[in-house]
Amino acid sequence: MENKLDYVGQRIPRKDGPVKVTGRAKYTVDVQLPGMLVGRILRSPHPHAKILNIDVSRAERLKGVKAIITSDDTIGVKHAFVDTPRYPADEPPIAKDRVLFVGEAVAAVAATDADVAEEALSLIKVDYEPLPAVFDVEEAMQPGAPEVHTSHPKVKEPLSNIAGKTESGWGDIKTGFAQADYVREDRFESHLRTHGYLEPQATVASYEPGGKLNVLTSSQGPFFKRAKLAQTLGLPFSRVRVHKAYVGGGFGGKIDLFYHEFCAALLSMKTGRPVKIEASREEIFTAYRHGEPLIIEIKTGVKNDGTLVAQQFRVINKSGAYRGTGVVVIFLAWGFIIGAYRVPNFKYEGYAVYTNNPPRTAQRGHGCPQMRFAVESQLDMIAEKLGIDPLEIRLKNARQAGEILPNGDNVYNCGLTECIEKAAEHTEFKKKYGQARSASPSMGSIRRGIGIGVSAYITGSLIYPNSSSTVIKMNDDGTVTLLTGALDIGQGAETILCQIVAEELKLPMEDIEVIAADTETTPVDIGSWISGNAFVTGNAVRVAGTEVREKLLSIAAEELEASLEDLVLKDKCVYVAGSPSHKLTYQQLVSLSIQKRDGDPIIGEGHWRTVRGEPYHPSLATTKGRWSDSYAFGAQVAEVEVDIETGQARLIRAVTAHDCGFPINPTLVEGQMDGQVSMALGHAFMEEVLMKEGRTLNPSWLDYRMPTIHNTAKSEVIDVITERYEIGRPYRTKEVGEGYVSGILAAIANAVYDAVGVRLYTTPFTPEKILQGLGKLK
Amino acid sequence: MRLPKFEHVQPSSREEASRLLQEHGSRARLVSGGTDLYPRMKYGLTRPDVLISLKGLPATPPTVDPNGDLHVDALMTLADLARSQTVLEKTPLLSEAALSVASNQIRHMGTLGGNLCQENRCPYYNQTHTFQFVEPCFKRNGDQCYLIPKGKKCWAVFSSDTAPALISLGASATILAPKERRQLPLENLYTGDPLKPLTISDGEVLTEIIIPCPLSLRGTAFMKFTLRGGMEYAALSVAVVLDMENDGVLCRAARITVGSVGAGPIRAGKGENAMAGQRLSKNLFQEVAQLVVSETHPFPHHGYSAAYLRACLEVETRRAFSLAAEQITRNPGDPG
Ligand SMILES: Cc1cc2nc3c(=O)[nH]c(=O)nc-3n(C[C@H](O)[C@H](O)[C@H](O)COP(=O)(O)OP(=O)(O)OC[C@H]3O[C@@H](n4cnc5c(N)ncnc54)[C@H](O)[C@@H]3O)c2cc1C
Repeated sequence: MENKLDYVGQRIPRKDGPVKVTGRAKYTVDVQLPGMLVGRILRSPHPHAKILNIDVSRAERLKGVKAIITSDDTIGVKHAFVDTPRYPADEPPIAKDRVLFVGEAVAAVAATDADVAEEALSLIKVDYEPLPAVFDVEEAMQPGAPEVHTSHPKVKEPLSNIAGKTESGWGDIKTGFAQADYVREDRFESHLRTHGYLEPQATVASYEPGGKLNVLTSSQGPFFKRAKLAQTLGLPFSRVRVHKAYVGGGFGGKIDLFYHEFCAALLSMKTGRPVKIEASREEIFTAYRHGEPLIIEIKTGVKNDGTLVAQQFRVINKSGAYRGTGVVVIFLAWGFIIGAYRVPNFKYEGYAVYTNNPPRTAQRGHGCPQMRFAVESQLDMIAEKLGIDPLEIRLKNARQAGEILPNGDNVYNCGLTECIEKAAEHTEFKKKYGQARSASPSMGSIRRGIGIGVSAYITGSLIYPNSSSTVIKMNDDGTVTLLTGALDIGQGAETILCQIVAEELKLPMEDIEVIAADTETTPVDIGSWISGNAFVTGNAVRVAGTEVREKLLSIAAEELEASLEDLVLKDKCVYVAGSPSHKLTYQQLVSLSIQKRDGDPIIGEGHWRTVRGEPYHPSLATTKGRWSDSYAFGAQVAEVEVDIETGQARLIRAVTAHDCGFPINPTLVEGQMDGQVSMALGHAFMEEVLMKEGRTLNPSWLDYRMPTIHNTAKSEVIDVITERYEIGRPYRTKEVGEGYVSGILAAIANAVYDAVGVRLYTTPFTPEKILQGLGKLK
Repeated sequence: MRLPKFEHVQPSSREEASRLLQEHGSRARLVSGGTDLYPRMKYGLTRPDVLISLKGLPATPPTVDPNGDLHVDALMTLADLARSQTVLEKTPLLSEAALSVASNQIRHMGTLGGNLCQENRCPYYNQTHTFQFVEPCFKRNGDQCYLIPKGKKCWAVFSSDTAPALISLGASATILAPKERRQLPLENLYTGDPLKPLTISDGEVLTEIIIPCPLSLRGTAFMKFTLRGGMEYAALSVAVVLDMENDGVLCRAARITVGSVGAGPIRAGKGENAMAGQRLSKNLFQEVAQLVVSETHPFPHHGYSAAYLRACLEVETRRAFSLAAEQITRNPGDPG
């Protein structure tokens, strides 16, 4: 068949653009239902305390209060992001007997308006007995530290508060280091950042007569939420319907089940009225889940020519009071090492450690920025010591097409080498690198530096709900409706899925209606949080599209008395090639199908899953098992300017050479790249959630400094194309939304070093640390 | 975060505002743009029952009096101030400081009076205290400071950007009380006490700022150090005015004011004295900058350590001197 692409690969404007820019898009907070109540949550003021008594009597008497819930109103079932025999759920949906962090939910109120709800909170009297608390993760690990939870029974070391451990390795680490010409050990540490989704967390829950719970919630995928709500409320899945409104960003922060979701649902069940709970931005900063800071210790052995021979890691995740994704990130941290470079002898240990800080969660890149910052910084130090340049050492160790990773994954058409070469060439890396260090004082106070960082990132993996399935149905008029569980959280999911439908059916984008992200009416989808939308959901859509196309063609072949190979799809018609008047419209074909195919109105169905053929996800404990079917690779170059007097640094230019397979929509791919560059520069220079003893010091956009338009850097994108889309055939495109916050962070750190000779071992790269490094702080 | 209920009163004149303020006593607060007050009310840091609003009263555009002095209405928004041609010509330093505040939106609401009368800030204090930092700190009438727990004092900083500029310009403030109108050197508006930063009392309204504009050679500069470069209070700021002898080389008098690193704006008197009578030079700038640091004792605040603020203040002060020296011009209207 001819493979001229009209939609895939085109810069098609996003489908949700007009409704968003004209302000007509409805978000969860915009939803008003008749009789709706307002919910608010009472939170713990203590980082660790026993709950002795909760007295709600005064609050109950307040006019306008319709329901108050505490843990006594729950069925006592715990939940968690990970819920497996090794890691059983550890979070009560409302605190029972004990609070473990400042902000933990103790009770919730539904009232006629927000003022009454807030007043009611102030009337609930909770008696606490404060308990010793621990906030520093390495203190928490010490034997005898205040116990947040008992240490994991399978971890035999004498350590406290261990939420989980991942161990992995191959080759022989001892022999590896023995073979090395040079070995170095470093320790890196990352800091606490929040996601910065602009739409606050919000839920509207409505328990309807007949016993159905309808939930509208700002999330990254409704199926996961449904599972957790059903579990904690004791309802069958079929009694819980979670569906979407528009979502104003997630970045990993809207995956888990949150208190406001559980409480809105339970309050609605108690009152029989819809309940809305909206988190204030301040609550999001103080009581919700931010990203996961890691401590990373690396020991690396190399040959004199830069060949990696052994690498050993010890990673500690600074988890909060519940396990959350803490045991996922220590698995992922391993994964984000293995993709980029070959290391023949390897040992990895990762610990997730409880503290009395608020629980943490996934954040765009989920461990990858932290890991790449550490690995790539150390690699530059090694290169410098050996007298080889940063490009050479990367090219020497970079994975090549067709390599099999230690877990059995195949990197297939890996374009890493080309990415490194292209990024370097485009930025004249070789010419610029090392220039600033020979600068003379007469040059003023600004030094410019250049640095490179590399990343490899998975494209979808197996975490519940594991797969994607879609339905495409033709309508009487020849248009189609796509049913997908995928949720567009601003990344453009619906747009690219429509492009695939449009391509498979040669149908204009306007003729595709999308019904998405509704657990009741749309098939299951992995959700917008494991970097699998374009690959996994995309392929599912492609399969469904193929089925529809084949049905159209088969009827057309019969009616037009032509052979299948002679038929072409164009302008909502099937033609006989070379005979344009010999055609049937899609509209005609639908009615013919109903007539002649026992009423089939032409429906296509498709499903897809990554690592097909593997029954289970890999082991979080041992990393054994396949992880992903497709890896994205990238090399990123940063150019920075550093003021050697104030220590202030800024990103001037970012160049991303990325192997994303092929872009389904180049504009959206570039949007992802630009977004990741600005997120990374916030990570690098500005953003930090400041905490003291479990409490947040800068709970506002004002004092938590996200970059503004004035801080963004010039971002240039180079496509390294390694795949192609062929109509009717599976494709292996690669993720573009997470990996590229990582290489650029590492590149920035290396560029700062290039500029001023200060090696930074901790993020963020504040003026203070840079001046300290320059020896200018008294 | 919700604004608590209050009564909103719209007086028809400043005099009436002052009278109403006194009438309602401690139950009432003045509000202009509300960009400083409303967030504090939402946090529950202040709970006035009555707000007397100056917002509806017209602001007189800046004028120059027969002495050549500039009069600026305190009710003027920072946006209008920043784009006033008269202000730009007479005191570019003030235009620059006004333009550095917050963001465009906030400058359109916020007024000069509100900027000068804003509350001191601290990350422990400026938030809701329903479950975070519930035990009151000094500034919430408690007996502790979270920032420096062993300390016996409050460490909240005063972060107005226009105050250091105006103090360096030698501005004075017109204060309207129910029975009197008085003139006050602007620096005397500040107590240096973070618990009660202003010297004026409840019934008083700041109505006007008068800035003397001597007919002499003058160079000015305003530096504000931030991480983000917009929508951000200063880590530190410094405003410098160098008045020159007619030769343009000898400094006749200098005024140096440092902002955001103390309980109020800090005049660097020793630095000023060391500059006066001297020939401008790089070395002099460096020496005086060090002196300024040694006499200011920056408060650590908002994640910046005192050590860093000292280092940064030295650099920014030196840069301010150089910039001011580069910009020495004759005051418009001076026959020369
Ligand atoms: C996001 C954000 C960023 C900010 N960034 C900055 C910044 O970078 N630099 C900076 O300096 N400020 C900043 N501010 C603080 C504030 O917005 C400005 O200082 C603004 O100029 C205050 O003016 P206003 O008219 O809104 O004051 P209001 O909020 O109306 O009043 C502030 C205080 O002054 C009193 N007051 C007001 N007018 C008078 C008067 N005429 N006489 C006597 N008392 C009076 C009020 O009673 C109140 O206590 C920021 C605020 C926000 C919300």
